[in-house]
Amino acid sequence: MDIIFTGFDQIFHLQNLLLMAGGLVIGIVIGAIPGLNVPLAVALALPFTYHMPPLAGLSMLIGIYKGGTHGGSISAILINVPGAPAAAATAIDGYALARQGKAGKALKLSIYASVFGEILSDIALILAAAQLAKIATTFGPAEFFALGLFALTIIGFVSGDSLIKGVIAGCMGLLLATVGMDPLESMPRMHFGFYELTGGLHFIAMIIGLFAISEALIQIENSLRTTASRTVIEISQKGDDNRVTWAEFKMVFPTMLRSAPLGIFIGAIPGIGSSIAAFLAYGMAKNMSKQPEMFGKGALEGVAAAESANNGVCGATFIPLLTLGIPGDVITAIMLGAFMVHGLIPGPTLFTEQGGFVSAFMIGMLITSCMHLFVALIGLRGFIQAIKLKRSLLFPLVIVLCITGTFVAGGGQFPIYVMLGMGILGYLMTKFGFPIPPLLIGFILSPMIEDGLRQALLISDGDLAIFYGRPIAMGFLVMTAALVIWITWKHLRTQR
Amino acid sequence: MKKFARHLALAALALAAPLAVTAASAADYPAKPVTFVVPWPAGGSTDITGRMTASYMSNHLGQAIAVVNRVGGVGTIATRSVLDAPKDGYTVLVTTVGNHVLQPAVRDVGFLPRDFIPIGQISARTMLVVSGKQQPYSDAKSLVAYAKANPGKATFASPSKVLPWRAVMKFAKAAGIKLKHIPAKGDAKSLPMVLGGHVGMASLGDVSAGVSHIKAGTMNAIGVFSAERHHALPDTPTMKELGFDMVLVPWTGLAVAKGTPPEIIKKLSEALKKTTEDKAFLKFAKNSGTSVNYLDGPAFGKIWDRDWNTYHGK
Repeated sequence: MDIIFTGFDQIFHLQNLLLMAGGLVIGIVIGAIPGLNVPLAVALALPFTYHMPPLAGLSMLIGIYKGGTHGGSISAILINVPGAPAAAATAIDGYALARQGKAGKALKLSIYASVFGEILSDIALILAAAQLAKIATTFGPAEFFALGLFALTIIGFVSGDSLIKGVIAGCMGLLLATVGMDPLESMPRMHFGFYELTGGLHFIAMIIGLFAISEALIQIENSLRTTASRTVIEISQKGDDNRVTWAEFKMVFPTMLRSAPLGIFIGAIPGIGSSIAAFLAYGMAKNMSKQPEMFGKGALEGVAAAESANNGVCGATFIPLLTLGIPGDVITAIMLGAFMVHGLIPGPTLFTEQGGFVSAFMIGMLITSCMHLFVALIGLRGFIQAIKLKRSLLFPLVIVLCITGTFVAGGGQFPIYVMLGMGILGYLMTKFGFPIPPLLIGFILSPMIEDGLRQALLISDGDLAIFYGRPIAMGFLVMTAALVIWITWKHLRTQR
Repeated sequence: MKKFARHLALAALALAAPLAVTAASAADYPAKPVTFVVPWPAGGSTDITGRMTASYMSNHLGQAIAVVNRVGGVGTIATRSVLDAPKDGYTVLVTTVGNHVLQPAVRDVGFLPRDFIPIGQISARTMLVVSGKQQPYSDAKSLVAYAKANPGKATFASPSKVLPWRAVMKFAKAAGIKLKHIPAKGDAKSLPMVLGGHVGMASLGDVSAGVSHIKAGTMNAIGVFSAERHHALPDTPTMKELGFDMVLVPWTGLAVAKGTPPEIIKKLSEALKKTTEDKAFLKFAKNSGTSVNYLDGPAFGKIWDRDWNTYHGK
């Protein structure tokens, strides 16, 4: 108990609180601007923290991380461009709501869901870090392979009208992810003689191209064809369209209550990430909804599920980092550096040697989450003003930001070509009715599935018992098979 | 017409601006900010060393130093990009043994170590092998005994074709045992596999990833590959003490592309030397667990040649 009080004592300094709020503002803005991304913001902020007291620097980085994970949903809702990959699932229903004039409602719901997910995640970190850390180590190669396959079934829920087109897009994602280095042998493959491609398709460039550039191209085309609206969306003047009513909140609350723990579970396992958590929660919400046909057409549950799950990951990623010294994603890997420069080595001894620091850090996470609610609600007005910009100004601006952002994040010109190529691919896919989210899902899961399968078979000398002999792996494989059969059956039935 | 003239003037100015920069000669170097290219991800140990050096070296160089991370291709993309940049000393590579020597030694990456000019070595690290609690071995002796009785049963995780992988393979050869390598993308991937008992051991690029687990007793230390014991792990023996005559040390230093004017190299070398003697830098390095081990350009180049001879064609 003493340790918790010392924690409060250490974290409650004006400097720390200001840095948290500042971090949140930076995170939300960077997250919301297409082209700029959160890992880059954290990496750029890192050197500043070298010369600050450890808690002060980390407070700022946490603010950026949390704000950024939610900030991505703002542009996803307003202009259909997810500012971060984790917001891709939010865009599906968020943008549909915005087109009905309900941008204010969708944005507020996304704030409530994000903050709810975060707070639950922080509490899980504080109360159950040691127990949840066990999940992280139970997952071996066989489990990662099985979970990866299972997660692929989300494609069945985000494919829109045509399942077969969704599957094709998913396969394209799986294939594109094989460009670069063979993950096991460290030998280049599929690079067609371009040495820049031996590093694989730059993830950030790819996301920006697929979502932002393709959307900009579509909007430019629309504005050439029609004279209808000069802004991207109209904001309804009716009060209820700009807020979440109590009845609506009660309706989506069960979804949030299911999605946040899913996010926490995914966050506790290193190497999966918030995008997959958001899509899994989205699929689960659609599956359990009374009105699954509303998904893709502006379902509030869709936004609530995706946002509470992706922010639910935020606190939980610190479970493997603090207890085992293992970073679960790009951002926590950068934050590991912020710990190390101050001689704080995350791992089992951190809790025994630096108990006061750890509790201060955890309480700091919780304070940041509470602050997030207010910072985000205040900032909302600014973003709603920005959307009043004319389409002809907004999208050229987006393209400029995308090119600059990709250049900075990728450290060269080549990623810009990747981004433009992906932009054209995304544009063509949309034109021919191929959904983009399955491609993203395939691309993210491909390395997890490939590594898991190959490592597992190396360990077992090619014996398949490593999959069916282990309960978790087997469980996921059985669920995968059942879901595939169910989705196909349902699809065939509706087609008739 | 007036508008046209104004546009023309602007265009001419825009075109002339880059010319003005290229006109800057070696004499007034550094006339603009210098870029450090780090071939490994932000937050990693090389990145910390690079950023730390940049932050203190800018005082001694009298110019701002920007750090960019270009990750991919086991560090070779960044390395090669430095050769493609103008050879004017404004692009400096923060280089390590993996991207600089080991990769060109095992495959065609489009460059050789000596395509660069060494500025100096900044630090050297200590590689560590750890094993899981569930394993039937807990130190080098019991490992060798177990592996002799069960050839290929003991597994270790590490990325492929990097120094930690090379080190364990060399150890196994010297001990006359067979170990199975399970490739994993980095320490963050191999540690959970060891903790969960999915693989037996992990070969870590730096002690920092394993210290906490060894102190807490959640993992066992097999040995370190440095010449002397590491101060954070005083009870962990070196391979040399265990009877295997091998010292493998991953290093980090600065290099520029061949063809960079000698005056510029001299300025960079002097600034780096002063940085590694800077008390504030040394204090900061100690806090972050970085072992500063400065070598001047020629000595650093000899390390490249030594490692090239060790790894090439083997």
